[in-house]
Amino acid sequence: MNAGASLRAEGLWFSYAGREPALRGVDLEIDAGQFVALVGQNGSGKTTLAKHFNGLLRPDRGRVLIDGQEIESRETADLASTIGYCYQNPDHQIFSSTVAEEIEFGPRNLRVSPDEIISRTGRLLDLVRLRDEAERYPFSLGRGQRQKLAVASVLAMEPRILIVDEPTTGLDWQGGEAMMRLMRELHAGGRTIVIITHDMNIVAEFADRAVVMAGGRIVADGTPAEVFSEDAALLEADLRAPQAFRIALRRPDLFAGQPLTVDDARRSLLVRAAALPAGDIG
Amino acid sequence: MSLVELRDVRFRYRDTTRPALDGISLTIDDGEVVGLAGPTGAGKTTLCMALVGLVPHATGGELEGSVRLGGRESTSSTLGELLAPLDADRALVAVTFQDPESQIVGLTVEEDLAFGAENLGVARDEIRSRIDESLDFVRLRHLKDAFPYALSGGQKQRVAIAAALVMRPRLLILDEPTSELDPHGRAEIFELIGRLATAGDVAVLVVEHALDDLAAAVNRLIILDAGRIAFDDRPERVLRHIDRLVEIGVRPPDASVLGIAAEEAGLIAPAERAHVTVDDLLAALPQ
Repeated sequence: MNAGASLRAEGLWFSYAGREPALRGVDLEIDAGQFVALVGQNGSGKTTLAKHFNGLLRPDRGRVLIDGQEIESRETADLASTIGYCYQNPDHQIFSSTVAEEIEFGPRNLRVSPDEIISRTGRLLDLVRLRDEAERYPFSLGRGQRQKLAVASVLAMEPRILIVDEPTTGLDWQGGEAMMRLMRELHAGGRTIVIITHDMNIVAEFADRAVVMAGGRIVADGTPAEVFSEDAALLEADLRAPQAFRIALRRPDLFAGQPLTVDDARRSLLVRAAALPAGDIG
Repeated sequence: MSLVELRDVRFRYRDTTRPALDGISLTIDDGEVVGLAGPTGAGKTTLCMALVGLVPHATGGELEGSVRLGGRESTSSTLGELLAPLDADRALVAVTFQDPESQIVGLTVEEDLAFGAENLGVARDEIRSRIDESLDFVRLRHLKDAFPYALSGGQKQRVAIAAALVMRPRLLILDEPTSELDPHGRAEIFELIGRLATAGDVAVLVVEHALDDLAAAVNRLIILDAGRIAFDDRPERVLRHIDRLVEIGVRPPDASVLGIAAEEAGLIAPAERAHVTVDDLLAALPQ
């Protein structure tokens, strides 16, 4: 697998034709190999920002750099092998008549050799667990499988940065977890991962950095624990930290450390309670 | 007589071997607000379609057992007979769907709300007063003349619910009303469901994947697992069964999980009721 690449946005301003600015001076630096969650309400600028990273949108002001190199002069298609973008709705990007052909399409356009395409397709079918569905019509798959196919077809171009818009929307709990474990595997392979999500449990469990947007600006940026502790920014973005985090934050006497997920919080509660003198227990 | 009565309902779609519904019995009374949750493929949508006769009338397939809606037996009625209003000026059933945009039929919010009631043959003045009342209920009176497509996702979904309420249905089915909304829109919809539950004027069945917000808004929670009812009880009783819920594939609220952990740790006394919300648990923890 390729190593990740870094991303940098400098003073980005952008307006859709005739509308209020969707981005109002966004500065963001993402290091190679980070796992970043971009969060905020619809209309806060998350997707608009992400579309600047692969050149789908060009800023009115400011610039975007990948590994220190400006993308302004490059075509979107050239960027496809560096940065992969998965749409929120997998059906907006799926168009082939079989699962395997869908995965082969990107590398074929990049003039990758036929042998290499076969080997990549095989590896990706295994990675997203669609080997048995290789010859099926993509739209006959379930939503979770279509979502994974969309990711696989972007990965086939071996991008060093993967941006996935709402990877778990429309999936149930197990489907969402399976999708995120796939993201984690891709990240462990060295890629830079950027997900856009509304699910703070996913942020707590999988991301090592959370960037909160509201009104076209970044209003908080840090580890999930740091961001979930910033009341003013969460209020501005109208977001709530996961239940377990909020409970632990209110009762630091009962929860050791600063647990992020419900599993952490449960362990931390049991550890702390075991250490309390019996007389202190109400 | 209950509004909805299902007895030992089994259903298989054509050309499938596994039953989508596998022995479902339940009743829903007027004014009850019921949550229906379960993983993908558990039968949530099929159950909703069976309640309103689309299963098997529109889908085909084999239905065994008895589905009665407003006292009418589904399999021995046509779809038209089954869904015909029981009362003057009132629909028997109204349904809203996941995608808020696909439900818009009018060019203004007001037109959109009038559509269903006009088809029911409700008098003009009555429609007007119901529209105002429904818009007040969903807190969108100020957007009566707005272009529905320009609204936010949460607002569109509230318009869809208001349009259903204008028909004064006996049963309102909300099929994953928040799955395509952001957290703000999601909060708006659950606040609304909570008020429907308090008012108790219409029976509501809310289908959802996630339990946190659902359990806090409804007074009865049904969990489906592979076409069967795993739980049908008050939310605070269902949420005692953390391990079983995880096994079924629905994520229990953190507050319920940590409440039981606090019992195990000897911090609070074991109880029959689970903690449903963050505030419930914070209030129960020793000071």
